[in-house]
Amino acid sequence: MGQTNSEMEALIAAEYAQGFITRIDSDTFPPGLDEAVVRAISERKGEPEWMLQKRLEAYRHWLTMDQPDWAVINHPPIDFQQISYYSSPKQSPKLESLDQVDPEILATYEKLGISIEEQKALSGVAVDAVFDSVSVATTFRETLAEAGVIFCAISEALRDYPELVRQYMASVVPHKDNFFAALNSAVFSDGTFVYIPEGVKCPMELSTYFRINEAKTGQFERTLIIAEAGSEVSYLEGCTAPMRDENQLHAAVVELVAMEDAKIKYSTVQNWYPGDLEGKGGIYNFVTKRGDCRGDRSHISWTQVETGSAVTWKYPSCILRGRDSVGEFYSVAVTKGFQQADTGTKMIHIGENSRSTIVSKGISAMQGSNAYRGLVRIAGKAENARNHTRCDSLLIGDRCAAHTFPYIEVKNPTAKVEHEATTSKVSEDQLFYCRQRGLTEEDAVSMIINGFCKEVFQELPMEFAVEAQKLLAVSLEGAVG
Amino acid sequence: MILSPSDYKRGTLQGIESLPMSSGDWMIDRRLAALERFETLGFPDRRSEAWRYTSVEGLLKQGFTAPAKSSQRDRDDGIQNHLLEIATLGRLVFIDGQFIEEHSVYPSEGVRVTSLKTAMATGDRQVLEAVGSLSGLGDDGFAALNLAGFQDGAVIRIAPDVRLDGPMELLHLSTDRVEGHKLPTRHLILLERGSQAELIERFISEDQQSSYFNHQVVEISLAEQATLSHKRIQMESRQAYHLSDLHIALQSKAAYYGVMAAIGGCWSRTFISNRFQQPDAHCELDGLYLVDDGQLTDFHLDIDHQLANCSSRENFKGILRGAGKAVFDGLIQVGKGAQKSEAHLHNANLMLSRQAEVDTKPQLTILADDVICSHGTSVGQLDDQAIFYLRSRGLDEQRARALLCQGFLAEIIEKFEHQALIELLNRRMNFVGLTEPETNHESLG
Repeated sequence: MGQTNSEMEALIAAEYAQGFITRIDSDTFPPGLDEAVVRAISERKGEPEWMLQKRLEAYRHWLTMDQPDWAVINHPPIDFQQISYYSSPKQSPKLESLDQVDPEILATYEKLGISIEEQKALSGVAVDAVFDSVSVATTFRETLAEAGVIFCAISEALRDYPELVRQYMASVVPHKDNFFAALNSAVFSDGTFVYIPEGVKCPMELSTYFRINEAKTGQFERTLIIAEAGSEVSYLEGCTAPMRDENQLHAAVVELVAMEDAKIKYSTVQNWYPGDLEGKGGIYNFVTKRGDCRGDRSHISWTQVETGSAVTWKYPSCILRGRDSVGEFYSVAVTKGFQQADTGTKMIHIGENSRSTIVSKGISAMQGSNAYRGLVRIAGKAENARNHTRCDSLLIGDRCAAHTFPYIEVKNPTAKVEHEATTSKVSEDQLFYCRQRGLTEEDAVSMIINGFCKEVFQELPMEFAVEAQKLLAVSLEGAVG
Repeated sequence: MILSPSDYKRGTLQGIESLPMSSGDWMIDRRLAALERFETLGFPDRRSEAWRYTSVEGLLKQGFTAPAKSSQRDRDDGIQNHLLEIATLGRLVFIDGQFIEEHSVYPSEGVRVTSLKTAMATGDRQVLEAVGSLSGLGDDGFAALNLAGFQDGAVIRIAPDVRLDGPMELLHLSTDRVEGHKLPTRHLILLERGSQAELIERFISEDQQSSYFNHQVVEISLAEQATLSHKRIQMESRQAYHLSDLHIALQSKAAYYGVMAAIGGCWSRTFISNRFQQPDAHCELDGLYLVDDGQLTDFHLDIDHQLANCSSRENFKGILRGAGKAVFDGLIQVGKGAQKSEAHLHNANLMLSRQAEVDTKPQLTILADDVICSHGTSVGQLDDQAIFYLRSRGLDEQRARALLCQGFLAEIIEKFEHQALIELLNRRMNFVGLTEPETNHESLG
């Protein structure tokens, strides 16, 4: 143990590897929020009038709301007037190919190891890269178009498929849903729109890499994925942000709609800047994610690996409306330093025979605080609904915190609901066993932690599973021992 | 009639004036402070997290008031009908919230028993100063109002190293005279170093139709190496409202074993707060509840591990029938530095009917790393295969279901130990009747 100490200390001191700022000219609004800003965002995007009206309605409602305070998170109050609500990298009017993309942006991706070319050539993943607020490059559009899949920025979708957007946007997360959803509905910058037509199995995994770049620019992504009857799609979302001293606010809204027999798999690896070891800086991540299993036998699966952000407030949920619909939530949340995560899920069972599975693994190290907050509600009409919840917390260090707050509401006697939770540290026995087999303490801990998270990692698509394991190892470097 | 908070304040002030008070102003000051706290807090509503699933509207609508000055009593008050076939060491009887000396017997050696009313009349400052020492002025409006307006209660103190070789009983009997009234009482139970005792508490309504509000705050303090086994059965009338706040404080190597049954009342809530005041203490809580049409039963646990090496185990099970509703909220907190804590909580619910509802919320809040904590909850129904198996062995459907229900609760019922209590519970819960097809509701096949 003594031997590895110095290595660990070096690792503790290691700076956030993805912390660099890309210098690029931006068209950025001055900080502040009022109706004029909402109008200006809408105008800048050339949105239809109804969209502007929706934004204004959301903004006016937001003014009447208070920021929620029930989560186990502490942070200085957010001054919403100090945030700039729009930032767009300057770009040539229309991009034909990657060559036209600002080389600096491409270089950023290279540094992050998610080179678009590489993705294009090797992995068969279509990447809709969201650089700050405006989509600058979209690949594999043609292959997808052949299958009839629409995969584009939401601003483009508003232009090209306004009726689709109008029909589905805010149908899962209405602007009145919560404080941050209202804010997002008013000022969302851009995001991703996916439409999978009936019976189509999306030919490739869809992926968006987010990157928060402009200083003081809140990022308000809006994602809408519609899977028509019998279709199938797997969507990957991965994030990493440059190092900053001021806290950056991120309030995204993700809406999923699954019709009959449709299947949506939504995977996230979140590795935003968590702040430094003194707890300074870092991203505030207040996200509303919700999937609506509208059709019978529809299936929505959320998988998340949360290692970044100073504050995470996120509850990907499923409304299980259809008969035999299935909701899943698999989560690994790691907090170290002064990171705080209050995350979990909601499974609302309305349809008969609806089933849900929740597996949540929380790892708290150093002064990190991790809370699982979940709701399982079985409505009166949900015959034979079934839920199994398992949430485990692993504690590393005597200053960390782990909380578990499940809410279980059952109004139907045919329901079977189970919830199990455990909290403990890495077992001495396991460690001893590994050590006497010749593993170093750090390898042993890493192996045990990987085992702890395996149930969730195996739900991730291949490329992400590898990335997630690496991330976990990097995240916990210096925290164990 | 809905009373306003100022009506409650006025009523409570009148109550305070009517009390014997040779103890001087300081006791009154404390009551007034509690009243002020009530004014600040008001009654809880569903916006408050602890009352999220438990509405107090129905209770407040009843407008329960304090009873008029001690009403006339019959000679025996039907007390003979409720005696247990258990060799008890002593019995303290409360009728309509008042301690009845002539029905009470208790050992004279090693145990000091008195009532709060006596303590107030004699100005027993040592006793009265302990009132509120664990509960404070009150965490909610009800508790504050109780401190401000309590009329009577038991004081039981077990001397050091005294090990009682039989149970003591606290019997709460409510007659039809309390219709429309609230009965705020408090008990103080103190076990000195190394002592050991067993306490059986029962809440019974003489008249099964009477509607009243029994509100009790119990403060239980166990000194080093003391052990208390506490058995509590709430079987009040189906019109009664029942609220119990138990505050338990344990010192080093003390152990509290509580087992609670809540089967009566139209609205019943039990809040149990356990504080480990010194390391190496142990707390065990078991409970069962049975709710039927028009009943709401709520158990709230707050197990707070702030010191190292303490352990706790909680196991609550409930059966829901008719349009009954059950609420369970079990919080385990482990504070910074409370290493080697071990805490396990379990809640299981069996739903027998379509209109029943259960809201269960176990919680873990952990700020130390060397701990083993877990919680589990489940909501389910009778297993068809198990019923089939029993039927294949010749039991009819109803008996089969009854047997399974009884089996479900058996591990809790057994904790009541005494055959008389086990029989009382089994009889009262009437497992066979429980599984009869419901008349007003569609029953599950």
